[in-house]
Amino acid sequence: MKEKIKTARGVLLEIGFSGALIIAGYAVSALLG
Amino acid sequence: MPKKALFFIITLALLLFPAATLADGNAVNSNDLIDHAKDYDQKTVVFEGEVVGDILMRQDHAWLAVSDGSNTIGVWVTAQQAEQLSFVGKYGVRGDTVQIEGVFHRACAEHGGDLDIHADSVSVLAVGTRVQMPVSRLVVILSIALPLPAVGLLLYVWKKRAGTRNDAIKMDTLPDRK
Amino acid sequence: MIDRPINRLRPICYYTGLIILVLNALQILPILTSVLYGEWPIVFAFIASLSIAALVAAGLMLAGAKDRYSKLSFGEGMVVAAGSWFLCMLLSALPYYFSGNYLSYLDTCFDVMSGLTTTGLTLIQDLDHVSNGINMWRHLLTFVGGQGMVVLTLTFLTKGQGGAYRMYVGEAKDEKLLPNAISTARRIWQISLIYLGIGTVALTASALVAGLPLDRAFLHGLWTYMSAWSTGGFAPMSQNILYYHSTLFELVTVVFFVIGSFNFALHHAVLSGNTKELRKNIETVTFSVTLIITVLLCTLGLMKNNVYPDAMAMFRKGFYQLISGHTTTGFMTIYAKQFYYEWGDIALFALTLAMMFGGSASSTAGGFKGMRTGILFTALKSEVRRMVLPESRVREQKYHHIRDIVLTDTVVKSAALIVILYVATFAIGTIAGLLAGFPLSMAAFESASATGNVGLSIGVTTAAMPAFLKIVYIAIMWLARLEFLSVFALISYLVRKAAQVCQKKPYSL
Repeated sequence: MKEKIKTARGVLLEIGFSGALIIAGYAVSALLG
Repeated sequence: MPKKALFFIITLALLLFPAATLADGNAVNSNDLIDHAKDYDQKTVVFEGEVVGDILMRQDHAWLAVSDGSNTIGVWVTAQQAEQLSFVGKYGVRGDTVQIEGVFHRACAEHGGDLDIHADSVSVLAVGTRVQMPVSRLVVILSIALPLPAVGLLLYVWKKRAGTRNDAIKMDTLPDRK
Repeated sequence: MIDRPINRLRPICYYTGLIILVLNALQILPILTSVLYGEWPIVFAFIASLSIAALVAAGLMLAGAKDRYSKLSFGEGMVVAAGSWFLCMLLSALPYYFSGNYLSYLDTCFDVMSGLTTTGLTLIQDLDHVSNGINMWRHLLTFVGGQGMVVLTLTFLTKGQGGAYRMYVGEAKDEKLLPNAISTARRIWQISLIYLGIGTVALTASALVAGLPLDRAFLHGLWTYMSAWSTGGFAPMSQNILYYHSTLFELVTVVFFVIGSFNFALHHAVLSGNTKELRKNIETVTFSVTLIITVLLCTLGLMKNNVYPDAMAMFRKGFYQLISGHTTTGFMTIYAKQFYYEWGDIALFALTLAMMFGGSASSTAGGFKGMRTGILFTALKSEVRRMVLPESRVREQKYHHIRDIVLTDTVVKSAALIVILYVATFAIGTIAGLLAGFPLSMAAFESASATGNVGLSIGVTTAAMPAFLKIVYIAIMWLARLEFLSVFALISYLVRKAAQVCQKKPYSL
């Protein structure tokens, strides 16, 4: 069970990191574009 | 003076060429639309092709994917316009052939920069149909003749593997090959 | 004690055959898909192809079965890796060839190599009318190619067999996630399958929202996931991701292709609880930096040419293509020629640079890899510091990848050599494009796309392009994916064998 929680947390973090890059990209488009 | 006039006339003709394509109802082809997107931007065009893939309903509008054999262009139509369609092209199906007249956008502001046509009118030129897909005789022969030998050979390999499993023990005494 | 000398060719044959068998056994999935949809000509095409592949594989395995427990050397592991990739290209192309969707056998080989290397450039004809079976095969090849066909095969081996690690390294991965290569291979698959579940659900849902019917939403969701995770770039329709006209669908693809570009060692660490790794790792840091720089440059270039009307368009066209290129995915929401006619040189330069930088090492992505860019930059920093600071203040330079690692000259040399090879490959690809008559910006862009196993196209890759250019791109995609060394090992091995045969040396292998 502990393994599954670790995995789930890891997945959410990776998705979050990806999301952060997307938001940064949108910010650049909005500020400059 | 004549040279200047000639130059002026030729330039005008070239600039009007896209307009000439549009004005008399001749369909523009997709390569032309894409390669000269800047010239066609915001202009009314006539585009013909086969409806393929899916009709993507979006509330009271829909996206059509229309292919003229070279490229597929997205066409934004009303739900009503979409209702007249019967067949969408895919494997084994030729979709309805349609003629679209509408405004072309190089980078549509309403649709996140998509290259599209907003249709004023959609007319079905030819209804689609199911199509018999060709089969090569060679392929059929191979697919009947080869599976049995293939399975046979694989089984033989399987048995041989089992037979030589003893060699593993002997191998373990070998020094690692660099 | 062994009496007879071991025939080295045998284990090479055996494992090559096994890999061919495992990869092509997957043709069962397209067969089932085609049966489900009544695509009978395609069913025949696959049965014929699968039988041929099985016969070749069985033949090779038979030739080598006797010495299959003999441990492969690193060189031999590389020969197996490069050799199987080449032979699989020839065999896995058969379904395409028999389907009638391609103009020549060379074109089918191109598409297989493009799929296996997760490039994504395609020569397929009439993609909008292609069967579900063939689409299943295209995307499956990409998904497996991303992980690696060697990695796939290792998951089925019993431990201690044949020098598994040597073959693993031959396929351009060297991360030991777990103590042995077979466990590592299985962990890679486990991670991929976890995300396969999540990603397919997310993309299927997005496709449903976009307006596709349930069965097609599922197929498109599955295929797009496979293409995204493997940073492949194939899509089921000719308009690629533009087909869906959906911000949601695009965003979800970005999430998964960015994650797909991460190092498997990073995944293993983060999914095992070491969450700090995400911000400390040299590759995530490097990627973030190079991404921001190239995005800024690209956006400025697009702004200068007034290419997009507003922020949303700039984001869905500019940023999307850029991050698609940087992760070496290759998904597109514009038409290829639009790069050439609309983007302008600054934006194209930024994108070309991003494609060369690429994703992370030991991932499905291509390019220099963030690891090398990071190492070289760190080395540069260290050199400058050494020049500026007095002798006493100089300490050894470290970088962080799962652990803190000392930046030795060997590490720097290794990174630099491979980067040089990538640049050289890019140059050769560009020259080939120029010889074929394309302008510099097109030749360079497409070459970067092939070298980085990206898949974005500026319009060079069409069935009409000259055969020699197709061959050059195939070679580039293959070399770049296997990071050169295995291919060099294979060629050197074949040359030595040929020399031996010509000199009629006694049969020592």
